[in-house]
Amino acid sequence: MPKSIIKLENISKSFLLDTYENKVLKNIDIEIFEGEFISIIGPSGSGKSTLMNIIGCLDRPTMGTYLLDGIDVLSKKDKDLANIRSKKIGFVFQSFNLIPRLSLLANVETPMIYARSKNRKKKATEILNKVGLNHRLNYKPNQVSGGETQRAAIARALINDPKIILADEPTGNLDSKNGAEVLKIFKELNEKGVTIILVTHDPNIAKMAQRTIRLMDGEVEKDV
Amino acid sequence: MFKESIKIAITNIWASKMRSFLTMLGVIIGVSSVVIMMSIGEGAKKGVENTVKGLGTNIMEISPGKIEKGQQFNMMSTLSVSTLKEEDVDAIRKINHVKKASPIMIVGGMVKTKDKVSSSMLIASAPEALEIINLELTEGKAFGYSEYNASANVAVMDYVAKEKLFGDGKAEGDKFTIRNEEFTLGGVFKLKGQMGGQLVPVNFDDVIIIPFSTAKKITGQSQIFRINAQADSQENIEKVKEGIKTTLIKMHDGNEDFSIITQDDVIDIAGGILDILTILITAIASISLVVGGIGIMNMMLVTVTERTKEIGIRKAIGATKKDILLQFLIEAMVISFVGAMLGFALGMFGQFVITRLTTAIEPYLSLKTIYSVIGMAFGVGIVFGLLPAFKAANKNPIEALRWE
Repeated sequence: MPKSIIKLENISKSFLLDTYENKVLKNIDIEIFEGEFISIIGPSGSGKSTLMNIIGCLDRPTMGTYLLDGIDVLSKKDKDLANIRSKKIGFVFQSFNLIPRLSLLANVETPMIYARSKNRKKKATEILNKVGLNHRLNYKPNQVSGGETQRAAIARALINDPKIILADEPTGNLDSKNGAEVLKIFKELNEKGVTIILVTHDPNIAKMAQRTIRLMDGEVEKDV
Repeated sequence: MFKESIKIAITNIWASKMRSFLTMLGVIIGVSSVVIMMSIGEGAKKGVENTVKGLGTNIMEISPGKIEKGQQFNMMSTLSVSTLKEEDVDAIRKINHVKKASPIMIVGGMVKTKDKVSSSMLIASAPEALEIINLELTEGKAFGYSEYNASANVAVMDYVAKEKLFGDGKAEGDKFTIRNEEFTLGGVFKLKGQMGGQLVPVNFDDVIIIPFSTAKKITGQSQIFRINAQADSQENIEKVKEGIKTTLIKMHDGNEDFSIITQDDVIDIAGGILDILTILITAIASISLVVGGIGIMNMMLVTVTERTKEIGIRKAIGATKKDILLQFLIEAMVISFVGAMLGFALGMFGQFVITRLTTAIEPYLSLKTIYSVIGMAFGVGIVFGLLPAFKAANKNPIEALRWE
């Protein structure tokens, strides 16, 4: 029996627009097990991003319960959520989101600063080597290609050995060759036991995953 | 975390050098003017101290009328007919640890030579007064007890009074008249400080001193305006002061109708006045510090807005509110610290220029000024960096990440 790592029960999220209540997520129930490779697809406005933010502990739902690795996330304070993000989750964004003034090495080191871990430089260098950026350590994000930037962002996501990688359209800004390379890295990570949750609108990419959750109008339309 | 924040701050400040420098400028100007003002004030205080100490060592002055320290006093009480008597001087001389004591009388009357008239101040005292006060004889000698006991018509005068009456050149033994009585000039001296430790900074150069006994003879009066006394050591000053007080009260039928002022009292009082002045001008100078602080706050607010996305990223990868708060607060503090150090350097340069341009002001860099600079260096950054830092820390990570 695989271990449940994410368990969403009856999750709803609504935003108040003037007097009108916009329900973005409606009673979502999802359970994800350790080591799974999951893709979440759906048209824009289906609630993908909101769901990702909730899973990533950046946002809180209006209703429901969320267990992450056995922790009741919603009862925690903001400070503890930051800690969970730091240690258990690695984010990969469509627009890379590296800090422009910092070198790739410094960018990769940053999560370790917040996790208060030691030997930052050594570990960051190692992980950048693994994603093939050993020749780019001291380059700024704007001095390297999109594919390299995204690989550095993946290195940053991995630096604290998270159990979960949350990737939001990670190949959206890349050409097919670089996109394939990034997906290959995810595949390899998944084989090592990291749970991967990938948001995409590309059905071909979604097919890579063992399981695809399709969202529609804030509800799970399909989970196979 | 602390070290990282300082590193990030320096990177950011360096990345926009011009902007950072202009932001610092307010603090630089503020700190340098505070440093200069405080140094001038401290220098003036030091100057008063040196003048008062220069009069002689361990001196105190007994004057008629009661002056309460730290209280308004009736100036008229010191102008009334003096209650001090010659017996008081004798009694003071017998008190333990009193080295010397002398009566002081201010004599009215014209001072003339054949062709010149002078308005020099005329003071009568016992020979001890010439030893108590730091006199430096440049010519001749002071009068002693033989002249004193004989009520001889001798005088010593400072070089200003001498020049008025006799012009340049030696004048020892020359004759002149006081109240139409002929006097012989015994010696000429240089006065190192003020006579009698007056609080009011009147110029006491231009003084003629004659024996108290002689003054009694020619005026027919023995009014004592002041008694100068000297303790045998620094440690015994307060003891002597108390001794004089109890002795005189006893002699004055239980009335404390006199005041005893030591050199330290004078320094305290004058220093107190200078302190108030220094605080006042420093307060005015520190207005520019506030302006500088607002400059820092303004720039930090701009920086926080510009770096909204960065804040979102940092929060997503695990930064807590406190981490972000600290980062921006430290950045503001680094700016204010560097600004304060540059301001301190500029202030020191200003002091150097002042000493070069004028001898009237002698700035003095005290430890107090250095502590104030350190306080300003961190204080301005904390006070004016807090609001922008809170703004940064409270950003919603999702909205911050979406910010372009």
